[in-house]
Amino acid sequence: MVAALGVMLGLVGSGSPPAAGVPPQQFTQAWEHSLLFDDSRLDAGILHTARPNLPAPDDLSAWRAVALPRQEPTKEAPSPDAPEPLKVWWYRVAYTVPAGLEGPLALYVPRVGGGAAQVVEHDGQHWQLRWDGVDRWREQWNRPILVDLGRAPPAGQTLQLAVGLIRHDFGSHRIARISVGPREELAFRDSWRRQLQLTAPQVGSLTFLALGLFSFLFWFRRRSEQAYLLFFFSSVVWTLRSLHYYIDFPRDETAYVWFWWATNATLSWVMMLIYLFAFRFDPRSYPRVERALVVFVLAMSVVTMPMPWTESSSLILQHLCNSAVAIGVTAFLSVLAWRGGGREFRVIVGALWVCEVFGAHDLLLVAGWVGPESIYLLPFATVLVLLAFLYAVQRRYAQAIDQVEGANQRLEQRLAEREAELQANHERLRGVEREQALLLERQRLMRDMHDGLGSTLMSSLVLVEQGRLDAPAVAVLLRECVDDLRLVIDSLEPIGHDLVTLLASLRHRLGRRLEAAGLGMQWEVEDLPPLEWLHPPDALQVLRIVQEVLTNVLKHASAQTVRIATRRHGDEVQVLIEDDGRGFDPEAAGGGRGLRHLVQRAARLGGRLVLDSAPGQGTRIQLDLPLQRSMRA
Amino acid sequence: MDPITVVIVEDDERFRAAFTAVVAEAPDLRLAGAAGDLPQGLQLLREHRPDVLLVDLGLPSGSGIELIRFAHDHLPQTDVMVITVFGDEPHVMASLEAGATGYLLKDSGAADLTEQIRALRAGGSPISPVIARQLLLRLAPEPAPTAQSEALLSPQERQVLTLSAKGFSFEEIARMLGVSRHTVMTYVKRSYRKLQVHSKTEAIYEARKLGLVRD
Repeated sequence: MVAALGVMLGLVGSGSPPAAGVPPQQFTQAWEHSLLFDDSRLDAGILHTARPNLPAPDDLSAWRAVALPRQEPTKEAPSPDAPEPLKVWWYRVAYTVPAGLEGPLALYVPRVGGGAAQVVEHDGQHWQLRWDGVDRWREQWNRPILVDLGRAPPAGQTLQLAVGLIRHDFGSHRIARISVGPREELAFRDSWRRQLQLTAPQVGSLTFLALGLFSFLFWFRRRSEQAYLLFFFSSVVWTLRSLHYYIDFPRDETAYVWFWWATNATLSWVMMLIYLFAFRFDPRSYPRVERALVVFVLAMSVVTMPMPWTESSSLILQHLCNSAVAIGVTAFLSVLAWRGGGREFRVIVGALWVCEVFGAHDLLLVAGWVGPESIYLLPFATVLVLLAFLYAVQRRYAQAIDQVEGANQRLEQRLAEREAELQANHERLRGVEREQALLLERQRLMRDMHDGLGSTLMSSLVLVEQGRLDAPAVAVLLRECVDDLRLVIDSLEPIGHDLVTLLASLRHRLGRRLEAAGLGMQWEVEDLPPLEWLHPPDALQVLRIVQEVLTNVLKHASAQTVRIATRRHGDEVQVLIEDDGRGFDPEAAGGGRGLRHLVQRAARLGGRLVLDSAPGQGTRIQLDLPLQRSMRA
Repeated sequence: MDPITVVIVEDDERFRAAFTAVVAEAPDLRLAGAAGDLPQGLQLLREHRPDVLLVDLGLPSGSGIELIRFAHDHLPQTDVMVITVFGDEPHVMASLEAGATGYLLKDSGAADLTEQIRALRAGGSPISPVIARQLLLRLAPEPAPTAQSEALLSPQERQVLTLSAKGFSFEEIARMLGVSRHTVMTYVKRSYRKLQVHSKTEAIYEARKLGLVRD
C-alpha cells in the first residue's frame, strides 16, 4: 500500500501524459494586480458579471511581475473592530500557442488557498469570465482548478489569461503554478490530484471505519480488551475528521464555523485515542499520562469552540500545541517501546513518528511554508497507523490463538498421560484378575483332589496296607478313582456352555458300562440354549449329580431301561432321569443321605432336584437348572 | 478273509503285553510286531505295512504324532488308532489332524479292543460328542458358512456329527437317518479325512499369512 502510494505520488510529480504531444506550459512567473472592493461580502455574489473590472493586459503600470507559486504575505488587521474590506488578486499569464498543438486547451492550477477563485480571459477588448468558483469558496482550499478554454487558436497567437483570488483583506493566500496547454494532459493531472486529495482520504477513512465496526463487535464480546474499543473510536473520529477533505461544506454560517471547529478538534481526539491505544500495548499502565492527555484534548476542544463571545483563535497556534503534545507523547512511547515493548508496540510507535512528520508537513502547508502544490499527507499517515493497528491486533489475536493451541496441546498431553495410566491400571487389574482366576481354579482342583480322588485313594491305601481289601475290591476302588478323574477332565472339555454336549460326553463314557450291566438307554435330549453360567466347576457338579443318579440306578434299581431327557421349561432347563426299576419309598429312611447330598448340590448350582418314586413304580429324578444365573452361587 | 495285521507301538511294557496278548488271541487279527519307541515303530511300519497301527501318543523318543503322520503319508492302507488315557479333546484332535481315524482308551477291556479294531477297519471308531462338536466348529462354522466351509461337509456328514455331538449312538443315528450303522461310520471317517486335509490347508493358509510360504 505504501509502495502504491509512492507510485501515485510519483505519477503526480512527473505528470506523465496520457499521450506524447505538445507539453503544457507551466508558468513560474505571473503578473499580479490587486483590487479592493468596497463593502461587499464574499458570499454576496460579487463579480458575477460577464466583464470583470480589470486593467488591460498591456497596461504595464497596473501589473507587476511575481514568481509562482506565490505566498502572499499576511496582512494584520489594524484593530479588532476595523472593517474588513473584500479584495481580489489577479495573476495574469500570456500563453502563446505553440506549433503542432491540436485539440482543446485548458488552464490548470493545482491549488489555490485562502479564498475563492475565478478565471478570466481577455478577448482583445474586454476581460471575459471563463470560470467562476465563488460559490465554492469554502471547499476551494483542497480542490484543483481545471478550466476548459475551448478549441486552440492557430499557432503563434497569444492568449491572455488571469486567475483571480478573492478574499478579505486581512490574512494571506497562496497560489500554485499555473499551467496552460492541451486539455487532455491537464485533465489527467487534475484527475490524479482529485484522487489523492479527495478520494484517497475518503476511501481510507471509510475503510478505517469498517474495520473499526468490526473491532467494536469484537470488543462487545470481550469487554476487557479496551484496545479494540479504542480502535473503534479512533476510526469513528477519524472518519469525522476526514470529512473536510472531500465533502461540500455547510452553507449556513454557524454550521460552517462549527464544522471547522469539529474538524480541528477531532484531530486532537484522534491523536488522543491513538495514543491511548498505543499505551495498551505496553505491559505497564500510565494512568496519569493518559489522564493528562485527555484533559489537554478536552480543554483544547473547549477553548477553540466558536462561541459568539470568543475571539476566533489561530488555527496554526492550535495545531502547534497539538504537535508539541504529540511529539512529547510519541517520544515517551518511543522510550517505552525501546525499553521493553513488544514488536507490535514498536511498529505502532514507528507509524506514529511517520504521523508526526506528515502532520508537521500539513501544518507547514497550511501556514504557507510548504508550497501550495504539495498535498495533505495526514490521510496517508492514517493509513499507515491503521496498518500498524491491524498488525498489532493481528499479532494479539495470533498470540491468543497460539496460547489456546498450546493449552489444548497440554490438555491433550495430560489426557494421553491419564489414558496411559488408566490403561496400565486396567492391565494390572486384569493381571490380578487372571491370577485370581488361576488361584480359584487351583483351589478348586485341590479341593476336588482332596475330597474325591485323594480321600478315596488314601482310604483304599489304608485298607490295602491293613490287608483288608482283596484284589477285586481294589480294582473297584481304583475304577471309581479313574471315573472321578474322568469327570474332572470332562468338565474341562470345550462344550461351549451346552448342557446337552456335557450330558452326551457322560453318556459316551458310561454307555458301554451301562450296556454291559444290561441297562438300556433311552436318550431323548432336546436342544437347549447355551447356559452362560455353565463353567467347568458347575459342569463338574452337574456331571457328579447325573453320574451318581446313574450309579444308584445301577446299584439299587434293578431296572431294564433308564431314560434321560432334557427340555426347556420356561426360565429353566430340566434334566429327567427315569428308570423302570423297583423304586422305593422316599419317606422311608435308607437312601436319605445320598439324596440329601444330591439336593444340596443342585441347590448350589442355583437349581433344584426333585425325586419321585414309589415301590414298584420306578424312580424319576428331575434336575431343574436356571437358564440364567445372575450371581455365581 | 485275510486276518487284519496289527502293529503296536507302546512304551509301557505292561500295556504293550496286554494289547499284544489280546491281538494274538483274536482269530481274525494277526500281530505283525510290537515296539516300545519311535525308531522301532517306524521300522516295523516300513517292514510290515500293517492294516492297523495302534500307537501311544507319549513315546519316550518322540511323539506318536510323528508315527501317525508317517503312516498317513506313506501307508494309505493303514488305519491308525491312538491309545489315550482319557480321550480328551486336545490329544484326540491332534491325532485326528495328523491322520488317525480312531482312538482307544487305555483301560479298555479285551473285548472292547478287538471290537474297536474291527470297527476301525470297517469305518471308524465311535466319536465322542465333544470331538463331534469340534469337527463341526472346524469344518462347518455356524455363523455364515462360506462357500468353502459349506463344501467341506456334506449334509449327511454334518447331520451325523450334529447328532453325535448330542450324544446319540451310531445305532440311533442310523435308525433316525434310515441308513446302516456302517454308513454312519463311513460318514464319520470321511469327516476325519476332511479334517486332515482341512488342517493342512489351514496350516498353509496360516503360513501364507505369516509370509512363510510363497504362492
